[in-house]
Amino acid sequence: MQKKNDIKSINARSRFSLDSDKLPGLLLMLASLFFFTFTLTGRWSSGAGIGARLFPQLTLGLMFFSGLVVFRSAGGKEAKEKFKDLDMRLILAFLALAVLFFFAVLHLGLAVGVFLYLLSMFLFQLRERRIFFRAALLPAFGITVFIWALFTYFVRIVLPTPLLF
Amino acid sequence: MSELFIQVLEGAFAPSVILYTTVGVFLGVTVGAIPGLSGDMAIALLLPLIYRVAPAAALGMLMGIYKGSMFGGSISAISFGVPGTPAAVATVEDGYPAKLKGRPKQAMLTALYSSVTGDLLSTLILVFVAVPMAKAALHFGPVEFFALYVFALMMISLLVVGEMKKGIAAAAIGLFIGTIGMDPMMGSIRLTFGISSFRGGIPLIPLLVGVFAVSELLVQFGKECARLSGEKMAKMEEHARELVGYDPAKDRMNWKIYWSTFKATLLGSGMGTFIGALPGAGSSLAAFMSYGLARKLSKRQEEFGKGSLEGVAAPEAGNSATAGASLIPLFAFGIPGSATAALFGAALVMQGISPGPMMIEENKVIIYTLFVIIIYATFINLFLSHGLIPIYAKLSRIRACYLVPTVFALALLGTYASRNSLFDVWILLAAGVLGIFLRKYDFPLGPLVLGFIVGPGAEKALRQALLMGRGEWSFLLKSPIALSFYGLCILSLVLLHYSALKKKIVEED
Repeated sequence: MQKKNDIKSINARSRFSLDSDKLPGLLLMLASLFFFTFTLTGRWSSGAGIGARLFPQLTLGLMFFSGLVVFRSAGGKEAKEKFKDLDMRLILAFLALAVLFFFAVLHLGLAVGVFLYLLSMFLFQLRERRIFFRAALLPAFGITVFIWALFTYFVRIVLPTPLLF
Repeated sequence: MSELFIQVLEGAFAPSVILYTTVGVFLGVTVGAIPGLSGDMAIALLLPLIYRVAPAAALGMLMGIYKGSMFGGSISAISFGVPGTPAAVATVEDGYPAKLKGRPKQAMLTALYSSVTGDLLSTLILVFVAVPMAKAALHFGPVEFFALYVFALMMISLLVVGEMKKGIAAAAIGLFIGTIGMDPMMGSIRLTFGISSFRGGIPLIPLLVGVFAVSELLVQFGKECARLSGEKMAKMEEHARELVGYDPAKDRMNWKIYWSTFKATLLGSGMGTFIGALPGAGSSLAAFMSYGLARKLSKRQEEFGKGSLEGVAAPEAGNSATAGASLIPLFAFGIPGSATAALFGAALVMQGISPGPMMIEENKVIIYTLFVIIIYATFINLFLSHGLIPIYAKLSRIRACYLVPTVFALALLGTYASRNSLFDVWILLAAGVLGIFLRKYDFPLGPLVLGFIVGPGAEKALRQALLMGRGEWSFLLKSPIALSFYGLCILSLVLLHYSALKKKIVEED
């Protein structure tokens, strides 16, 4: 009985937590409603109720009801252990760096772009260690050579000519 | 017939094919051994890179990765107590204690031999079952196919490790994403929001790479895994050094030891093959169920959890046996039974082979060649891994801070290069963010990808069936085969609900 009360109190406390399943359930329902309106207004082929809008509507209906079930059965469950120490700022930084890297490859070329990206990533991650040459510069150079050789000789994929040089 | 046989052997044993398969096995074991990387991720990453390689070599390489990664996960599980892949979680239970007892070699080789045995048995079943099943499926019409798609999606959603409702939700998301773009019957442009790049639909490769690989990389980076995993591994090693008074003479592997684990290996192989053939039930589930079954039927139950070699053999045979079996629905019906099979389906499409019941009939040479490659890849795995276990164990210690940016760069460049399309890069990053969100809330990713892949086929089958039935939905129930698939769906739902209810009652008591 005590255990049940404990669980109830934990659930009540984390009811509005971002880690609870209520959020994905709600988002699923909202997304399905949002897209459903487009299936009603879109000028798509139709025919005896089995036109182009039928399947999207069915899948959105399934999405809505599964979202509803997820939302209703959410008991304020905590996020998985793996995600507890997840830093969203780091993820955003990683994504931003990825976009920069990609444009660096297009403008500066494969080798230069990859080298700069890897070096900055290694330096960022190993910032506390202060062993620049061995821990960051050499691996960045070695991996760049590997990626360059992989693309140029092994899979022979040609990327667009860099704009700068 | 003899001409086909010669063509198949020539194709399968071409030096380039053997080389690619061997490289695939090596890569597979390596990525399997490195915690955080997985076979799925490696296959997804290689998809954009191998489209220029000949079909047999490309598919052999992917198959090598798949097989290698199944065993690779056990290397770090036994060496450090950190499973290299989710499928190797059950191996930690006895593998790591066996190492601490001073028997790392025996545990590792038991894992390898049972993995290879399970893999080989399931591969043989694939070869002998897929062809007759595909022939039977040739008699299926849209009604039966739609029922089969419903059954596959239902099983995929129900059997995922985790919550059933989230499996269904993930499948629904995948199905919905699959409807974006041109409709498969009339060519109407749907849900593009005026963006012309959406007209062709969401591209498969960026979605796969984003959901499987990029999301995992983002999670690892978000945790500053570089530091965490390094520290964790160092602690584990220190702990292991303290406990082991290692004597190589007591850690020799022989036939007697292999034979003592043979029953567990067979149980795991059977369980893994059965579970692998069911759409959606992954290798992790197979490993745990094999472990549980072997423990229940063992004469030395008390040794489980304390370094029992049977406890290593059963989950390893179980997870590896899913490798061949999970391809059965793909080869027979064109419906991928697992996330990895979905990746294979994508690879087949990229090589100009359309998965479906006609696939084997229309591509006899390449499919039979692939069967031969699948069989010999198992032996490549055996010989390569036997010699290289110490090297793999060292590779599994590569720090994540080097791996994450490197793999991410490869994912980005490979995706872009496959079509020289910037749009694909945005889809990749968006799929990565979606993947993180779903992982965080414990939604399985497999059903999403499978929903996306089978969605257009299911839609086509449904609309064709309804056209045949003049819009009458009851027409979908007029085929006995279709009815039996729907019956199986209901039966699975009832059984799973019953077992969940029983579990709840036991827990409350």
